[in-house]
Amino acid sequence: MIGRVLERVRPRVSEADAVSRSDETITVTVPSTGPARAARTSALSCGLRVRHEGRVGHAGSTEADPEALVRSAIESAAVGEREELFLPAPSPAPEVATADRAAASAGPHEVLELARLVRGRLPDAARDAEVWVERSAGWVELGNTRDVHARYDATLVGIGVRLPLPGERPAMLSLHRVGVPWPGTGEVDRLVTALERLVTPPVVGRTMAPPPGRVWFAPRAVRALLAPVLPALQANALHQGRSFLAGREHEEALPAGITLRDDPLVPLRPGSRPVDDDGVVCRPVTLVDRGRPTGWICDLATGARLGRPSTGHGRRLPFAPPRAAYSNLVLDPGEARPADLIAETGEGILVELLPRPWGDLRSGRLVLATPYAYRVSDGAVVGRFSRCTLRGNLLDMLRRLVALGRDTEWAGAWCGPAMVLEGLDLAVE
Amino acid sequence: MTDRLLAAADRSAAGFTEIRFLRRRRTLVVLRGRHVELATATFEEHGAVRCLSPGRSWGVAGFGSMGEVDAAARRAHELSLALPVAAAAPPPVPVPARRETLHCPAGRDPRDLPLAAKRRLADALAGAVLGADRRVVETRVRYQDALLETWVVTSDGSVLYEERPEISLAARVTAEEGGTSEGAFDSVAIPGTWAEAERWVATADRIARRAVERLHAPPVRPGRWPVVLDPRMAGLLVHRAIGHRCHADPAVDGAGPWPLGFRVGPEPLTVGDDGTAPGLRGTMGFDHEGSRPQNTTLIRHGVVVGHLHTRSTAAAAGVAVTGNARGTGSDAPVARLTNTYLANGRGTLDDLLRGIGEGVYLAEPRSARTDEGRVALDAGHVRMIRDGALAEPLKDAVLQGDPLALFGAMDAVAGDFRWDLSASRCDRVGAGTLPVSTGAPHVRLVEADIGDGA
Repeated sequence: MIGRVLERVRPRVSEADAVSRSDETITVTVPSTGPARAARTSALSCGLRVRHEGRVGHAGSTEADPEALVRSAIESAAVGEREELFLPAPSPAPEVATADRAAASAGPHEVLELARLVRGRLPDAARDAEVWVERSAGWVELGNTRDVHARYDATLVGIGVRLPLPGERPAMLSLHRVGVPWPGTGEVDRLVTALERLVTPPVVGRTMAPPPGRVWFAPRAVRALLAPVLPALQANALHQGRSFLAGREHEEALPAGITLRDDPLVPLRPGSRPVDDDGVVCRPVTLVDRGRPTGWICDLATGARLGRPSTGHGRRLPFAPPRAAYSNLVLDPGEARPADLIAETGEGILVELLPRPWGDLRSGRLVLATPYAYRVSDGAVVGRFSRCTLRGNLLDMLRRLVALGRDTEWAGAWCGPAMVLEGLDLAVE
Repeated sequence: MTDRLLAAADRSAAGFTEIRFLRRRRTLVVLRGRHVELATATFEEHGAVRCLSPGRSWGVAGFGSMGEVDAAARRAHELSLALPVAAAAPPPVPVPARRETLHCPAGRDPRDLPLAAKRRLADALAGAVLGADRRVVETRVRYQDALLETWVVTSDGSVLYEERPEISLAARVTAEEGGTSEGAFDSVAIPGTWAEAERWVATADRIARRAVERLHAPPVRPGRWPVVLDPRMAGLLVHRAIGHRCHADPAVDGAGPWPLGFRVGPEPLTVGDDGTAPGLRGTMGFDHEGSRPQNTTLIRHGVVVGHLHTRSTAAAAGVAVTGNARGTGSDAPVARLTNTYLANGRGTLDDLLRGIGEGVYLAEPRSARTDEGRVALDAGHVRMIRDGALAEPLKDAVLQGDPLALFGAMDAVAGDFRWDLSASRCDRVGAGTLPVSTGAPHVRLVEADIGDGA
């Protein structure tokens, strides 16, 4: 479709680029009781951006009618802003694995069998869980009027469970693993082990609260601690004057233990891709080097407004224009072995999962409440609190870094180590 | 189009087949300050076929264009047969077959409006909020219109088509002074009437005034306070804390419905969901299973008396369908809220304030959150109540707590009901986001927790 769209639009505008996505998704859900559910969905979409008489306009469609799409984009440009649009020229794209043959060829039968496999492996404490498996396979194709053309296949497979957690405050546990390849038994084992860790410890009350001390955050929980940092490292925050890191490039604005990268070229991860949705060749970007901001992720349009080059992070969702978005975020590990983390935590708390924080992201003053906080005593988990609430400025919290694990763990498009912090304002129930 | 869907339903080999197809044309103009950040037009089509054969499970297949409907019907039937039969799905409860075509009312089709006029309205909105006060430093305004066409065809004889127009406007404002920064936000969704949109823009400077007011307002002292909620806060609280516990199907998010006969609150608490109320976001001519929406009472005098049903949940419970089946994208429809309301009581806001020595008035919700059975609503406009009257502005107040405790503390409901016309959406865990409305009068809580949302 891209070829037909660009062919029609080329003689009528000064610049244009387009992205088309195709996707087929199969989802099977197996509840603990009641009938299983299955769905199979296919979707095709195309987004077009044009620069016409100096103004930029967008259009998107699920219809295979290039003329209607081109007409809509040109009409939109008539009310759009006068802007530059420096489209990239063709250049060699790096090799990166974005799809898996087994995942692409899996049909409803394989998806159902995988769901049954997960269901059969659930621990007793999770027998009321609902199990789901989702497999998505498709391709991304993009091009522009400077003759850039790229296409890559993409697959994604998620396996997950949902189950009610007991406790004074009922909570719904939702745990999943997402990756590009078809999951083997090792991946199912990892999900089951993580589930066992979450649901096996008995619920304990606030009488078991440890003395004020240290908190051990498991790798999956660490990403939520970076909530104020991530938006501040996007170029649109810089452009709109919303980044607290603006003008602090190469200063030690963050804790020295933090080295953060975005890497679209890690193979077989959800954010892996050779080119971004602006047609710019992807490359890894170091965002923070030992606490010093060194780069902002940038898409083409924001880059033009800022006078900066794109970093290859343009992401265009169906029916929306491109904007800068992370691909695969990687927080570099430290040196602490698991035994060191346990020792550093002492009589403390282990937080396995943290939801998105609540509060003011700009100032960093946030509240994080989780039902996945566990009492650690003598190097072992002895119980789960119904609820643990952390309050305060997350940036200040990160400055109280005691230890960073040497082992990292992938969770979707996030990879990071465990972390131990001290001196936190924390309450448990 | 209808004929193709009908033919696909007729050709389906499944015992029961239901086809839903949606087409949406949308234009969107976003301005940051006076600068157009985005101008776009989109055309979107997608559909879903759902099949059930006796003794089997549901199979669902989504499709992206009308040409794929037959293939999707085949895939849905195959999926239905492929699933294990250990627990078969009950067949949907029978509903009267309907054949209806509901066209866009004359003069309300947003496609008839020139794009330049839409840009001018967005400009006028930007001008209204930017020019309201010198302390306004940043604005983002959004104009959007859409014409949504929906087809529902079922193998038991319903053939339905509806066109629904909508214009929505939103403005986000940031004000700064002396190193302090505060924001305010408001939106409106109107079923296609341009004059109403212009009237909303004409009063939009109030959004900027809210942001400015917060600059020097002190935060509320956290603790337990007598509280009065404005109709928007009360409506959102009812939607979140009560409506979400009245879906008949627990399968989506695991939180089961409160049982019939369960006491949720005091006598003045009567709550319903009305998919027929004119001019609101949740209103539909038919639901996504082809059933007729209705006004369903969920709580009467504090006691649960009804649930929201799809044809499947009604069959399982042995009750009548309520017309609340709604699906997002190509997902199967599940029970969803439409326009949820707290019914009128008596008296005025002044009556509710009378007798309160010190309390907090919460209005214009900014955000809401529900987790672990607790609800938290962040108020955008807060006033102290002193000696029975609204007093100085405050900020940073989150009404929070267990829903049963909050409604247990409700002792008065005023008689000043109004629908909230904001561009509200309901996000049900695992079931996507849908447009909804809420409505309520002012209400009073004898005492409630005001805190930071934890």
